[in-house]
Amino acid sequence: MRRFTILMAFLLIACSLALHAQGTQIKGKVTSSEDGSTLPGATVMVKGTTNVTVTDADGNYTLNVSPEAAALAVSFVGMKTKEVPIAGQTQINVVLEPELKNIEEVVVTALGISRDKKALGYSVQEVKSDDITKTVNANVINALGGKIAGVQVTNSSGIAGGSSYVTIRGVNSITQNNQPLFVVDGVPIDNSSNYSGNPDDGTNNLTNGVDYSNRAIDLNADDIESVSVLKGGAATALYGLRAGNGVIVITTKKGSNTGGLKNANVTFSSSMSVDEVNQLPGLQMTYGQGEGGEWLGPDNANGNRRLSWGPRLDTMRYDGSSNYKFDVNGKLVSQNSSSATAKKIITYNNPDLFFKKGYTYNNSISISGGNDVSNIYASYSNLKTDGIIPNNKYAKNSFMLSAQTKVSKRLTVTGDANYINSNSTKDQQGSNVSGVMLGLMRTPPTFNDAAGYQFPDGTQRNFRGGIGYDNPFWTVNKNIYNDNINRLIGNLGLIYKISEWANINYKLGTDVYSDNRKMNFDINSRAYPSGQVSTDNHFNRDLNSDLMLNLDQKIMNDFEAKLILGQNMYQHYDEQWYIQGDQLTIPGYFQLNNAASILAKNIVGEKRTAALFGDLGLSFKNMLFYDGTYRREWSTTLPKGANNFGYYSNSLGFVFTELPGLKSNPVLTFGKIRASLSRVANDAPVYSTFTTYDAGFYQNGYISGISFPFNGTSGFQVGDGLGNNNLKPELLNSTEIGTELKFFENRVGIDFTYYKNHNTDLILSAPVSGATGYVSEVRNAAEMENKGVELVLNLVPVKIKSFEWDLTLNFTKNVNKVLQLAPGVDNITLGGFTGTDIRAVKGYSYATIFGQDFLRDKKGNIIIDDVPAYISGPDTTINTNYGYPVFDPNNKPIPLGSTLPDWTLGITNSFTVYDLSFSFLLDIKHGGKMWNGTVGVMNYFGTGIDTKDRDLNHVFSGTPGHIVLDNAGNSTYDADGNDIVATSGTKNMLPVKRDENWYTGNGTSFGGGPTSQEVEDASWVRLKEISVSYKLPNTLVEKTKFIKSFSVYFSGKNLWLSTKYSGVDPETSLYGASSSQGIDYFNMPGTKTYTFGIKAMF
Amino acid sequence: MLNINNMKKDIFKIAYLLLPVALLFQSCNKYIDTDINTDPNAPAKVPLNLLLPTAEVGTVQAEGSDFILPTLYWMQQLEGVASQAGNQEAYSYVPTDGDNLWKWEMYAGVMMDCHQMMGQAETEKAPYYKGIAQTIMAYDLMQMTDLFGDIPYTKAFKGSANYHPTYDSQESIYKTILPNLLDSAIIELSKPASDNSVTPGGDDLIYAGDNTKWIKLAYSLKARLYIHLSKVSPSDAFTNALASVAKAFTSNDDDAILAFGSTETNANPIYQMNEQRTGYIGGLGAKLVDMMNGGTPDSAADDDPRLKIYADTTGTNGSWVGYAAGAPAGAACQIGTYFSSISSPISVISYVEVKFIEAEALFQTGDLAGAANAFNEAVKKSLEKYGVSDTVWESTNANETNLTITLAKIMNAKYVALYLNSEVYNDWRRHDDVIVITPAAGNLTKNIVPRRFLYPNDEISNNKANVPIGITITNKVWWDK
Repeated sequence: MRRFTILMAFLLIACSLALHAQGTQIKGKVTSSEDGSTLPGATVMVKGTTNVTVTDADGNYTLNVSPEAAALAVSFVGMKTKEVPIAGQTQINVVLEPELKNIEEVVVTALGISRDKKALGYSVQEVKSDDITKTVNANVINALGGKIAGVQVTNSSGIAGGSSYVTIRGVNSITQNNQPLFVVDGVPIDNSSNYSGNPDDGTNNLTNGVDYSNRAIDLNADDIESVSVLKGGAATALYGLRAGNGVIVITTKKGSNTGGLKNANVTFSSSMSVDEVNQLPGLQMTYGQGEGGEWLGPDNANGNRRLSWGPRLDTMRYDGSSNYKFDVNGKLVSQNSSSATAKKIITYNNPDLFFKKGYTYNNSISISGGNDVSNIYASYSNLKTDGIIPNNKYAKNSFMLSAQTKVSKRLTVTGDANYINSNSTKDQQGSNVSGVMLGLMRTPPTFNDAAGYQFPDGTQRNFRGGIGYDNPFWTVNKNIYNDNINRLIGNLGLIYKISEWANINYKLGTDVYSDNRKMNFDINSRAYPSGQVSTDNHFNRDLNSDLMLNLDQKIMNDFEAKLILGQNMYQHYDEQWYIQGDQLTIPGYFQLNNAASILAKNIVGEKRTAALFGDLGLSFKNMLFYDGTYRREWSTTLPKGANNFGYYSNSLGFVFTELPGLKSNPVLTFGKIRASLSRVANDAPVYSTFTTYDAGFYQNGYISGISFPFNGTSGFQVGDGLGNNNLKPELLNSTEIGTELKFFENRVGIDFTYYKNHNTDLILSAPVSGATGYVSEVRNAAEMENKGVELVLNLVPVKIKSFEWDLTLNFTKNVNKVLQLAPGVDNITLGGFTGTDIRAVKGYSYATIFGQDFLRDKKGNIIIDDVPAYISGPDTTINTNYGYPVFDPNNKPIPLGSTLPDWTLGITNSFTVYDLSFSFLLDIKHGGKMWNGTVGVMNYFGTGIDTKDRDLNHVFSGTPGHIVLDNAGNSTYDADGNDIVATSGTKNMLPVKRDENWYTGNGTSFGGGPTSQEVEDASWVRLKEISVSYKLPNTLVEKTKFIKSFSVYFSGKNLWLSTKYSGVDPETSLYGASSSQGIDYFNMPGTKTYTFGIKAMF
Repeated sequence: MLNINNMKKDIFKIAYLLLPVALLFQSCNKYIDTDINTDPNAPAKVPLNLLLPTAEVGTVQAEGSDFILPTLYWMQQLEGVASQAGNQEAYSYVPTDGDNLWKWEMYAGVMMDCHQMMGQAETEKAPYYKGIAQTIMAYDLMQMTDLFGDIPYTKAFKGSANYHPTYDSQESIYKTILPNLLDSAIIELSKPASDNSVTPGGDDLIYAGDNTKWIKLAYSLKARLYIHLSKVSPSDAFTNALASVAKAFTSNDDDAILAFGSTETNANPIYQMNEQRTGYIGGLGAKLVDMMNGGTPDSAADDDPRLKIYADTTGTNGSWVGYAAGAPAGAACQIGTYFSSISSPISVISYVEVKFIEAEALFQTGDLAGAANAFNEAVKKSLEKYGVSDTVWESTNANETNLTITLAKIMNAKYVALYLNSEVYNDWRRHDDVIVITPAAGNLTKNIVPRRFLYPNDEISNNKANVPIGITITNKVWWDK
C-alpha cells in the first residue's frame, strides 16, 4: 500500500509538473511527532489540487505553488493527514501525528514476512514497543499478559529472575512442550527452563530447588520494536515443527534513516522500581508453639515442637531466664507459674520481618541512525534487581547491534547480534526443608526467626532446636544458588533483488548460550545436613538457516499473486554437566574439593531437521485473499525410513466492504470475514526410538536413594522407558473462522475468532503397567481438543481535540478436553504430590487436579459422622470423629477441578490529554483451580489463620450419616468400589471444634485428610498495569536544540489484587514454566511494583 | 503487467541462484542422519557384571525401606509418626503407597534386571550369573506375593509385547514358579566353573562370586518359602522346609548381607530416612522394647543384650522406652547406630532365621528336643552376630529343652531376632495367635491389623483388566488363609 502511495505520488508529480510551470516555492521538513524522526516519502499536496510532491530521504520537500493555493495537505502512511495554511509562508515544517487506528495495518507473520493485516485469513495480534516498556519486566513475557486474546501468562513467583509460563490457545501436547516458539528477527530461540539437581530425579527436581528462569528472560524489552503473536495453525504452519503451540515473533529495533549518522537519534531511558510482596497467607498470633495446649520450646526434644498447637499466649508470661539461647526474654510459662514475670508474650510476624522491599534499576541507551544506504541500531541495557527476599538478586546486561547496508543496487546485507550476560542469586523454595516459605510459614508466632540463624558453635538456630526446617535467614545466607548466563543471539541476512518482482532472501541465525550454575547447602542445613555443593552447567546451541525465493507479480488487472519457495535447516545441540559433591568438611567452603563424595553426570541432546516449503498468496481486487502453505519436513528424531512428513494450511480472507455497494459506508468502515484450515506436525523427542540402559539408581519417593557407582562399583539397569521405533509425527489440526469489523471511522473495532484445534497422534510418555518391566513407553496415542473464542474490542468513546479515551478489551475463552490418552491408559500424572496430582485424564480438561474428597451423598452434601460410639460386645469406643466429615482414605482420587481458567479478560483504558497520558490494564481471570498445599500445611501446624478459631464451636455443613459396616466391622462397597453410606438427609447441627486433632487429622491432606479442602478457586481481578506519563511539549523541547523528546512516567504493576485465594498471589506455579501448573506448595509470593522513569531522545 | 522477455531472463537468474540449494539437498540425506538419534547418554547393551550389582543393591535397599515400612509399623517394632508414616501407623494404606515399590523398585527395577540377566546369561553361557539372577528374582517375587497376593510373573517383563500381563495366583507362584526358579538356580550354580564364559567376582557385592554361598542362599529361601505354607499344607510345609534347611546356611558368615557406602548417594536407606524424613520413623515401638527390657525401662541386667544394639536412648534420658502404637507421646528410643549409620549393613535372610525355621518345623513335626536345640542355637547366634554374647542372659533365654520349648517362644524370639527384617510380618500373619499385636490406637480399620498391601495405583490405572478388585488391607493373602 505504501509503495502504491509513493507510486501514485510520483504519477501525480509528473502531472503537476506539466500543469504548473510557475509560482512561489515552499520548502520544509516533515517529521514524526512520535520520535521526531524525519519522514522520507511523505506526500505534500496543495489542498484541492493535483499539485503534489514527496519528501526526500531527509524528509525535506520543495513545492512550487500557485498564488491562489491556500493550504498544504501532508500525508504519510500510518500518520494522520495534516492541513497547514500557507498564509504566505515559504518555509513550512510539518509534524505528523500517528494515525490512531490504521486499517492498512502491517503485521509480521511467519518467517518474518510483513503482510497487510487486511489480507490475512487468520488472526494475528501485535504488541508494540511502548506497551511492552510501560512497566518494567525483567521477563518480557510478563508484558504480554492481558494484552492479547488467547495468550495466558503465568509468572511463577515474585522472585527476581523467576520464570514465566506462556501458552497460546490452551495446551496442545500431553507430555511434550506446551509453550510457543519464540522467534527473534527470524531466528528461533530457546526458551527452556533447565532445572538443576541430580538428573536421575527428573522432574521431581521441580518441586524443590529454586525458581529457575525460562530463557526468554534474556531478551531486553527496550530493544523490542514489536511482538507479533501467531496463534493458530494457519499462522504458524510455515514454521513447521515446534510451532504447533503458536509463535511469538519478536522484531527488534532497527536503525532508521536519519539522513546520516551525525543526525542519529540517541535514546536514553532510566527507571527505578520498588517491589513489595503483594499477598501472603494469614497467620494466627493467638497461640504458641507446642501441642495439646502445652508450650514446647525449641529446646524441648521430647514433644512435637514443630506444631503451634500450644497455649493461648494471653495466659502465658516469660520466665525471664537470661540463659535461654532461643529467646532473650526467657521461656514461656503460665501466668500463674511461680517463675512468671510480668512480661507478656511478644508475637512475631515472621514474614513481615523477613520480606523486604525490592529495588530494580533499569538503564538503557541506544543509538539509531543511518542514511538511505546503511543504517545501524546499537544499544546497551542494564537491569539490576535486588529482590524481596534477602540475597535474591538478578542482573542483566544486554548489548545489541543491528545493521543493514545496501552493498549494491541488488544486494542488501543485514545483521543482528545480541549478547546478553545475566546472573542471579536465588533462594530455595517449595517442597524442600531448606525452602524459604516452608520454614517461614511454619514458624510459631512466639519464635523470632530474625533474632539470629546460627549459634556460635555453628549449629543452626531455628524453632525446632536445629532440626526440621531451615530458619529462612539461614537458608538465604548459607544455601546459595547462583547462575551466570552468557548468550549470543544473532543472524546474518542477505537479500538479493533479482527483479522488481523477485528476490532471494537468506538468513542464518544462531542462539548459543552457556548457563553455569552453582547450588550450595552448608553443613547443618536441613536439606543436606552434611552439606552439598553442586555445579550444573548447561550449554545450548541452535542454528537455523532459511533460504527463500519471493515472487510477487500482478498477473492481470485486479489479480495479484505472491509465491514463496523456501528451504530450512535447523540444528539443535544441548549438553549438561552436573557434578554434585556431598558431605562437606569445611563449613561455608563451597568447592567440590571440600566434598567427600562426588556424583557426576553428562547429558547430551542433539537433533537436526530440514524442510522445503512453499507459500502461495493470491488476491483479487484487494478484496478476496487466499493463502496456502505447504511444508515437508525431515527430522532425525523419527525412525529411519519414516522420518519425513508434510503439512499445510489454507486460509481465506474476504473484505466485504470492498464490494461496490458497501464501500465508503459511513457506519461500517471496514468488514472482513476469514476462515482457515491447517495441519501442523511435530516430531518426536530426541532419543525416544530405542530402549537403553541407565546407570543404576534406586529411590522410593521418600529418600534420595542410591546412585551408582556404589562404593566404587559401576552398575546399570534396564532403562525405565520403553523406546518405540514406530513413532510418527504428532498432528495438530486447526480450524479457525473470524471476522473483523470497524465502525464509525474506526471508533469501534471488533475482531472475533472462533477456533477448534484437534490434535491427534500426540506423542506421550505413556505409563505402562510396571509388570511389563518398564515404567513408560513413548507412544503416538493421545488426542486432545481445544475450542475457543477470542474477542478483541477497540473503542474510542471520546475523541475531541486534545482529549482521547481508548478502550481495548481482550476476551479469551478456551475449553480443553483430553479425548484419548493411550489404550488402557486413562490418566497421566503431570506433577504434584502424594494424594494431590495434576493429571491429564481422558474426558477431562488437561491439568485437572486429582485428589480425595470427603464422602458425599448423591446430592453432593458432605456426610457428617453421626455415630457417637462404636459398640462391640461389652466394649464401647467413643468415636472421636463424631460430628466431623467422614473420609475414607481407601476411596480413589477424583477430579477436583481444572487448573485452566474458564475465561480471561484484559481491559486496557488509555486517556490522552494534551501531552499527558494515563492508562491502566485490568486483568481478569475467571476460574481455574489451585492446590493450596501451603495453607493446608500451615493449618496442620497450627500457624494458619484458620486455626485462630480453634477454641470456637463450628458446625460442618453437610448431612449426618456414616459408612455401612459389615458384620466384621469392615466398610462395605458398591459395584464401583465406593463406600456404601447411610444418611439421614437432614442438615447437620452438631457443633464441634476445629482443633489440633482435626487439623492434624482429616482437616488437612498433610494430616491424612482429603485434598479437596485445599483446592481453591484461583480467579482474580487485578490492576495489572497502571501508568501515567507526561511528555514535554514539542515547543518546549525544540527550544533546547539538542533534546528531541523527553518524557517522565510513573507506572505500577499488580497494585491492586482481588481474589478469594487464601495463599500467595494465585498467579504462581511451583513447577515453574512447565505444564504442571496449579500447585502452590510453599511457593515464593508474588509482588507489586512501583516504577518511576524517564525517557529522552537526543 | 507481465513482460515475458524480462520474465524469462529473471527466471533464468532465479534458476542459477537456486542451483546451490539443489546441491545442498543432495547432501540432505547425510545431514538428516538418524544415527544422530542414538542416545549418547545411555548404552544399548551392558555386560552382566554391570547388571548384577544394581540388582543386589536395589533388592537390599527395598528390604531396608519399602518392604519394612509400613509393615514394621504394623508389627510395632517401629512407630510411624510424622506425615504419611503416621497415617500408615494408623492402618491407612492407599493404592499410591505401593507405586514406588511395585513399579520403580521391583517390576521395572530389580525384577526386570534379573529377568534380563537370566536371558543374557543363558545366551552368553554364564550359568552362575543365571543362577544368581534366578535366586534374587525368587527372593523379590516371594516378597511381592507375600505383600500383594496374586501378582504377574509368567506374562510379565515382556515390554510392548504384552502391555497388560495377567496375574499368577499366589498358589501357583508358591507351588510352581518359586520352587522351579530356585531349583533351576541351584542347578546352574552347581555347574563347574569351566562351564562359565564369565563368572561373577567383585561385582557380586553379597558373596563376591562364591557360588557355594549362593546355593546355600537358594536353599535358605526354599526353607522360607515352604515354612510360609504352614497354614496351607502344614505337613508338607514342615518336611519340605526341613529338607531345605539341611542344605541352607550353616553359620552367621553365610548371611545374605550387604553393607552400604559412606557417601550420601550410597547411604543406608534407614539412615537416609532418618536424615531426610526426620520424624517419620518416630522411634521404636513399645511392643518390641517391652519384650526386651525385662519389663522395666531402666537399663538393667535383665535386659536383652541386643537392646543396646537395636536401640539408642537419645532423647529418652537413658531409659529404654518405646512408643505406644498409634499414640506417640513423650519420647522413645531410636534405631541403634548398628542399623542406622550411613554405611550400616542390611541382611535379607540369615542363618539365625534358618535356625528358627528349623525350630518351628521340628516343633510342629513333634521333635521337641530338636526344636529346642535349634531355638537355642538361633538365639545364641543372634547375639553372637551383634557381638553381645552373654552366657548369663543366655542361660535363662537360650536354654530351652524338649519340656520347656513352645511355639510362642520360638515365634516371639524370632520376632526379636529378626529386628528390622520384613519376615517378621510374614511370621505374624502365620502366627497371630502367639505373636500378639494389640491394634494401634486410633486406627482406621476398626481394630483389624492390616494383612497385606493394596494393589498399587499403577496397576489400577494401567493394567485394569487384570488387577484383582475389591481387595482391602484387611483381606488375607492365599497362604494366610
